[in-house]
Amino acid sequence: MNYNLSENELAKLFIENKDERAFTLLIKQYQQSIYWHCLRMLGNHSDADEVTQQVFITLYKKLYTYKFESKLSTWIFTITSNLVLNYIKKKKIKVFFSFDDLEHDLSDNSDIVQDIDNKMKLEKLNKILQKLPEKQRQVFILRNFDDLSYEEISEITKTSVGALKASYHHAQKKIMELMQNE
Amino acid sequence: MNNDLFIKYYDNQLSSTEKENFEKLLATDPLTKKAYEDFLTKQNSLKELNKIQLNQEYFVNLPVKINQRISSKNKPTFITKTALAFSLTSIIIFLFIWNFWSNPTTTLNNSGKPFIAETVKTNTNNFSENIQKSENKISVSKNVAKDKLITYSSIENESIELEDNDIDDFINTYQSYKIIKTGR
Repeated sequence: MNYNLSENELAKLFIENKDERAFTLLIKQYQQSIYWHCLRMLGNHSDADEVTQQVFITLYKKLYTYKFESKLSTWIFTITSNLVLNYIKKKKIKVFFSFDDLEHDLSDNSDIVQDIDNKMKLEKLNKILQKLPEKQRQVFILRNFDDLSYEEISEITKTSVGALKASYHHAQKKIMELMQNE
Repeated sequence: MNNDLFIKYYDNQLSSTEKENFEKLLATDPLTKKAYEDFLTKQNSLKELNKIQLNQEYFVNLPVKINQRISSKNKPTFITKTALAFSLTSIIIFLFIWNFWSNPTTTLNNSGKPFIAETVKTNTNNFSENIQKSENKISVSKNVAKDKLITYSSIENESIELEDNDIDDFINTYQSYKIIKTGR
């Protein structure tokens, strides 16, 4: 079978025929973008790895609910976005009750980046992004790094375009101040 | 300098008039131009930070890890199986107890003995009686069979030595014949 198919065709194959190979191809198509989004939001590899896997497991269970009304990427990013924010919430509660520090263990990233240059870049990026509140961080990442339009971000986050623009604006200001001080 | 205006221009949030005015300002005011260039340098540094080479082996293994997790979630775990077994056992025990207690009369019979014990004893006695009746039927059937065979042997002028197994076989065959013939 020729698997040079669009994402919608792959999704249809999986929904109608439970074709596991189609699902694996979907994973390969989206794994990098989802992982990147999780890594930028969460700041370390092990959390990003866990949430990325959860996204695809949820996709496996819930893809039959996809109505082909919006873009599949938007639908997948909605799941990603919700799981990431839930994960952050749960982690905060866990940390609160264990009296641990909320500092991210950036040495955790040794599995995903190996050379020093890239490690330093990732450390610096995480340091800047983790200073933003989660929802602002999310909007900034989706707009600046994932290159989504405000309309798409609005569909993902269920927030108005006006509020998103304001959120992005505040995030940009803060980032510029942080980079000034670096 | 005004970062708000730079951010809006960079993010394409200015109206066409505002955009035109800002571009005129950039062209005419060197200070504004310098400030905007500094702003752009920071934006580019941020984009550079994002250009990180990730270990691609991780992405080769990721689909396998995900598929393994999905397969393991589809199998019932030990806890699920135990909970299921416990629930079924509880339901069976509940039905058994409910069956005994479902009689709306008092739990004690007239002689004052506990109802459950009396019911069990009655059920056991009934069971024994049924066994005895069956045994009686079998012995009657055996005698009938024996008489029939003796009658047959006298008609046919043959002597037949009968053993218990023969009689049992005859009863089974006779009963099968009776079922076929009468449908009962």
